[in-house]
Amino acid sequence: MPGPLPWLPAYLVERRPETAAAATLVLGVPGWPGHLPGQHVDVRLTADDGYSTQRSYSLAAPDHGATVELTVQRVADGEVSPFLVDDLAIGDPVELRGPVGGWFVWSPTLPTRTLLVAGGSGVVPLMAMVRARHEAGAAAPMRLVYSVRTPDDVLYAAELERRGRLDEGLEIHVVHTRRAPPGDARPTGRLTREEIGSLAWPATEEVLTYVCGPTGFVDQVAGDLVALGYDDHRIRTERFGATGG
Amino acid sequence: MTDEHGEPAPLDGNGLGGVLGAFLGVDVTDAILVCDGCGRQQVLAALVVFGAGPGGVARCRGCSHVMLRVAEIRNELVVDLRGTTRLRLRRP
Ligand SMILES: Cc1cc2nc3c(=O)[nH]c(=O)nc-3n(C[C@H](O)[C@H](O)[C@H](O)COP(=O)(O)OP(=O)(O)OC[C@H]3O[C@@H](n4cnc5c(N)ncnc54)[C@H](O)[C@@H]3O)c2cc1C
Ligand SMILES: [Zn+2]
Repeated sequence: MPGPLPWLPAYLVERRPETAAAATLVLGVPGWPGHLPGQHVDVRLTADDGYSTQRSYSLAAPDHGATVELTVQRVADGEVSPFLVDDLAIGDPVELRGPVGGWFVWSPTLPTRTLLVAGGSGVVPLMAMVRARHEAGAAAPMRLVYSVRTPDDVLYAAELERRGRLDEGLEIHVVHTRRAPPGDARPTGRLTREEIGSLAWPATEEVLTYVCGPTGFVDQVAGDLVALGYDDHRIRTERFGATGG
Repeated sequence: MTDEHGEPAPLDGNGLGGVLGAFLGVDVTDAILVCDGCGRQQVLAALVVFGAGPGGVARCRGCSHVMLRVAEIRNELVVDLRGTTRLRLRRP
């Protein structure tokens, strides 16, 4: 990271709806220094009366120069997320501080297998990894296990389906906790330890794992992986708090 | 923030990366800290954090001992490391 992180002025360039509750915000950030898959930014909003508040949001796309993409899922009664998803207008300013993170980061040059486990909006930084792997034409195998409430809540659904079909060595497994699509053989419900064991590579293989989502989900999955014999030091975690299940 | 049972849901040390990086100029989320309470070694990103954004309190994931307090107060960063025996940083 080159020097202290200042707050950078940014402007909304484009908003793409992802689901009924989530949108991707494309922000123009003059002087953006670039970033790595997995990193996030702090977003600061300041009202006319000077009141300001900040939240963290993951970078959803690999580094593409002076625009960054965030995918925000609305939390009912939330202070910041409903504003970002619904009200921020094209051209409106926000401030960004980042890129943040040197541990929860992934590189397409890693030679090892990568297991990604996402709960809800925790898929956002993992999507940056899936996309970076695609753009780099990386060959090392990657698996994404994505737990989500219903088919309507799947972020990036079409792109994930396409990548899973076309990107060699990439597997996508979506599991539904509340309602599954018609014809899904899996009963709805939380990801179990046995299921993680069957979807993950055996613990004897060299695997680097990234787990992201609501705090309870991440704690559960990380605990399950350790119980399955995964090395604690090869599991990287990022917790979003109560949100995003 | 609270979870579905009304209990506050902690974040982790990743959320402190912004405020620390803003003042220190290096990412410290992969710094290794040794807990004064139980001796466990862990990266800052893995600590249990209440707060974040402009500051927070970070606890050991093994024994819940408070290891780090961070506060941004106007133009100052205040870091209280009581509870941390050792902090190891890699050269950037
Ligand atoms: C490193 C990091 C990266 C993150 N990346 C993303 C990201 O890419 N996309 C994203 O959408 N979010 C992300 N988050 C979460 C984000 O920072 C905010 O916490 C989230 O948007 C909620 O903020 P808010 O101001 O809307 O809600 P707040 O005003 O902070 O909370 C509103 C109230 O809702 C409650 N609440 C929170 N979640 C729920 C829930 N699921 N159900 C019911 N009540 C709830 C809270 O307890 C609180 O009482 C990330 C968090 C971290 C730490
Ligand atoms: Zn401890």
